[in-house]
Amino acid sequence: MEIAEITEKLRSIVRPYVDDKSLLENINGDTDLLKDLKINSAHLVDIILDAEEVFNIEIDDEAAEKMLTVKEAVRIIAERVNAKT
Amino acid sequence: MIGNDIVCLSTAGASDFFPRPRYLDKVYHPSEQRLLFADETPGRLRWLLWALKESAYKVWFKQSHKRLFAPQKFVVSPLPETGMYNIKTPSGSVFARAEVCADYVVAYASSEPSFSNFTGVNRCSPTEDPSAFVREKLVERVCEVFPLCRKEDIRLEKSPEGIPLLYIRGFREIFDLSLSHHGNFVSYVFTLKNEKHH
Repeated sequence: MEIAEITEKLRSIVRPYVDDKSLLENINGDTDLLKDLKINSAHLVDIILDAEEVFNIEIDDEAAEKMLTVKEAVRIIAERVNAKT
Repeated sequence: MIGNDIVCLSTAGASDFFPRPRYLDKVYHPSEQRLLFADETPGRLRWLLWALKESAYKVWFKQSHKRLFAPQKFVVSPLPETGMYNIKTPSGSVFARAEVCADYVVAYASSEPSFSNFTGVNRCSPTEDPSAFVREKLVERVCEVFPLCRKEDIRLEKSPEGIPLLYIRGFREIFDLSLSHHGNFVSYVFTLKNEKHH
């Protein structure tokens, strides 16, 4: 799966947890899920669970620890998605 | 070092317990899951444990300068007969206390086993910017603690890492502080300069 496709799917996954939807317009690799998108940290767990369902992958705790930016989240998802194919 | 975290129970959905499979394992250590299963109001305890973990994370972050999302690595144990909690972090332990109310839970953590500090919780209307509101409430309280201090003497800044710093006429009279907001509530905690911990 292409990085652009993963990023788009990730944008849809995080959308429900972002109060100010305009923040989603400028998502890039450096976007920080907590600081830039103002996502409550309690929802990071939901995002990880959603990503596991949408991409049909498993994100272990060690990988989840690093899922604080779009770049890291996409990298972690891509590694697992592409390992299956 | 101190840290706090508040959870608005109506916003969090305290009646919504065990919402998703695998959620528990990703957030709560097995010992915490045992506490949840044994509790009469697990929906509230779930968020109390979360607030304790988050407040401990803030203390740990100030010490380690590392960002991490690993709630299951911050393990809460109630300390019997003290009303306090011990929270194991990836490096050492911190101590915490909490207030459980009908509408919110709030936790205050510290690297010191005994700490005195100034804390406050305020209700924030939906029209307010909670981030600005909690700073306003903090400044009001600091002015009460320092009667000669006026609001315009106070400057609030953030370190490059996002740690809040407070200056009174350019001096760090407030040794450490932490701010939190969620849903309808805001919370602050601060300790004074040169306070000795025993």
